[in-house]
Amino acid sequence: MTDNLGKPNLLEVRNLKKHFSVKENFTRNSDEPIRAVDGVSFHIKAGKTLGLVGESGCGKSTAARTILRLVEPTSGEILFKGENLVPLSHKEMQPLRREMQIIFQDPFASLNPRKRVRHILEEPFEIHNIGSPVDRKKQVEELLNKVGLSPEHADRFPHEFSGGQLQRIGIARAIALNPSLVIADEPVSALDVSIQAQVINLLQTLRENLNISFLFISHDMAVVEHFCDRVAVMYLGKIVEIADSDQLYQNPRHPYTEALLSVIPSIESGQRKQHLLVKGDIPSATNPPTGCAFHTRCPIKEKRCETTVPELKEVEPGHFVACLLRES
Amino acid sequence: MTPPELRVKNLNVSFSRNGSEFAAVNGISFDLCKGEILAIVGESGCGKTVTALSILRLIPEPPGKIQSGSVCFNSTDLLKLSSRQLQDIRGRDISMIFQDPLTCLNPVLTLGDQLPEPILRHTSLSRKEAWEKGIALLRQVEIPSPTEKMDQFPHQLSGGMRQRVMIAMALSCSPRILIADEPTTALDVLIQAQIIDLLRNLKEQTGMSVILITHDLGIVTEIAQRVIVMYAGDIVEMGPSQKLLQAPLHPYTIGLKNSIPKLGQKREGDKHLTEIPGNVPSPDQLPSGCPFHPRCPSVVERCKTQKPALKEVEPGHQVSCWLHESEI
Repeated sequence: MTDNLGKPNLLEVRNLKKHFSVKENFTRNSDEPIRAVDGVSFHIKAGKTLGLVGESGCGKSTAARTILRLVEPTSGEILFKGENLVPLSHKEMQPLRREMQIIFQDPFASLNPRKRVRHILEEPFEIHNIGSPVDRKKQVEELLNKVGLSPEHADRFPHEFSGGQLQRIGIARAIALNPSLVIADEPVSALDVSIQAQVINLLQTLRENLNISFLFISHDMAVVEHFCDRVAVMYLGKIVEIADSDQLYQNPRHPYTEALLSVIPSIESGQRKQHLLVKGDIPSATNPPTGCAFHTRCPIKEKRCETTVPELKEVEPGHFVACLLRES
Repeated sequence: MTPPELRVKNLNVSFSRNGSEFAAVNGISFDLCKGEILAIVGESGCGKTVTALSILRLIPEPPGKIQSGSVCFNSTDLLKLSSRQLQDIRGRDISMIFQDPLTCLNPVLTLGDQLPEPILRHTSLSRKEAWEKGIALLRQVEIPSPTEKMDQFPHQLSGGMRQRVMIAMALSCSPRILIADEPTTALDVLIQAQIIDLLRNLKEQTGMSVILITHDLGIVTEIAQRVIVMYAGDIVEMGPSQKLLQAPLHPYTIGLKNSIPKLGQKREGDKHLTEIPGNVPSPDQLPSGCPFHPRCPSVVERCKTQKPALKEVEPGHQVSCWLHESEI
């Protein structure tokens, strides 16, 4: 993909694959792996935000973890600031980890319940050997202020906070070392509606002030539209459509994207929209359908969709779709 | 006017924790009319699930306790029945479906073992007839190849299918009231839409009344005729759903509505979401006066000390807020 805005790519993922082998019985691995991520390519420019949407099991979280090499990729390239991360050893990865951080979905599970907030937030500095203990103490206080908490919170334990506050601590930990890329894996899905808005606004402010790029993973189309510059829709381990967010939401091409958009209820109009009926469930990734993976649920499928695998093709500048019927 | 199907009056439910007792539901009253879908919305901890469970006396006692109030169904007070009498009503006249269908189905029994259970308990059908009825029910909730499904275990079904099985089980004795507690929260968006369509169709076929507990205002506009908004154990607003959500009166309802990102909002230049500041108060340390006052943008002195009562502002539309007191 060419760089038409003159900004360098911060992250570029080329043909990333992650296959998990499954045990057929106690001794033998099955021949058919689970193709969790099956040939995904995209790029994020410095300071920009890419949204990754799809239903559960489509591989969006696996893709995120593979990029950070929390899960080892099966094949493909992950270029971070032009450097391929895949062949690096864990030791070589360590300094790069300063620059790429992750926020998890469940703030209750992602913070150590036995450590005080101060300890949780000092840990990144300790690991990377930054600053003296006095500096660190000051840094922690600044971080808490940045995410809308106060320095007194530093001496408390995670169980003393509400979900929204815990997510703020998770965010503080992620931005502690001034990363250039933050992967946010469903950061607001576990939160109540009124708290969701607080956290999204916080992320937005941090993005503007600290010039952080985000890979924002969510199943909520409205949240993604609000937060992201560019959006990729995943289905069964593959990207089926990727475009700038305005373009994707106003002019979706893939029937799957259309279906996802049609089921968002509009509170404003108070009217029931006609759901684009997508029948059935997401198929199993061990045994994906032949041809286009979506053909089993697609409302407009034709015979050839059952046999031909559609390629991701550019239909308008920057707008890519993988659908045989919608590529022209 | 026909009498309501269910009348909840002055329901008080409390829980005890560490020796101290606090109210989870604060004397709420509402009617469920025949054939309507009534939604109860609110954030976690607002008492919506406790209300629903109390109707069938499913609150674990202790720590919970239904302090006072009445739930009138068929001119009997459900709260005064013996547990044996109540068992005749549960599953036959009033049945319930829950958020997580996997934990509600017995994992070691096939569908054929558990689906006919309520039929055998409440009707005089034979085992064989109940089995046939089970297959018919699965067909009614649009499960493909229902006969084979009777021999399968819950883990062999997808989340959406399991929820359909739960619905089939709940409908097996043609109940007059269905209580659905967050029936779509655990499901993917496209599957959510399928289940919502299914519930609406079933309601139209059978004429039953539905109490739908949800935190999703979008679902409310899609399916409910009336809506109750709860906050910290109280009803803060109640009325016809379209009208209430298009022109909400209580500051909390307004805040909830505004904090949800809407499609196209960013294109219109609205970069930040409107948030409700602060957190939902914990039920053991409720603020004085109106429980919403610490988070309310239009708070006045009176709100801090006096609690407003639920007052009718328009026919069928009630709100408990001092701001609307003068309009009566």
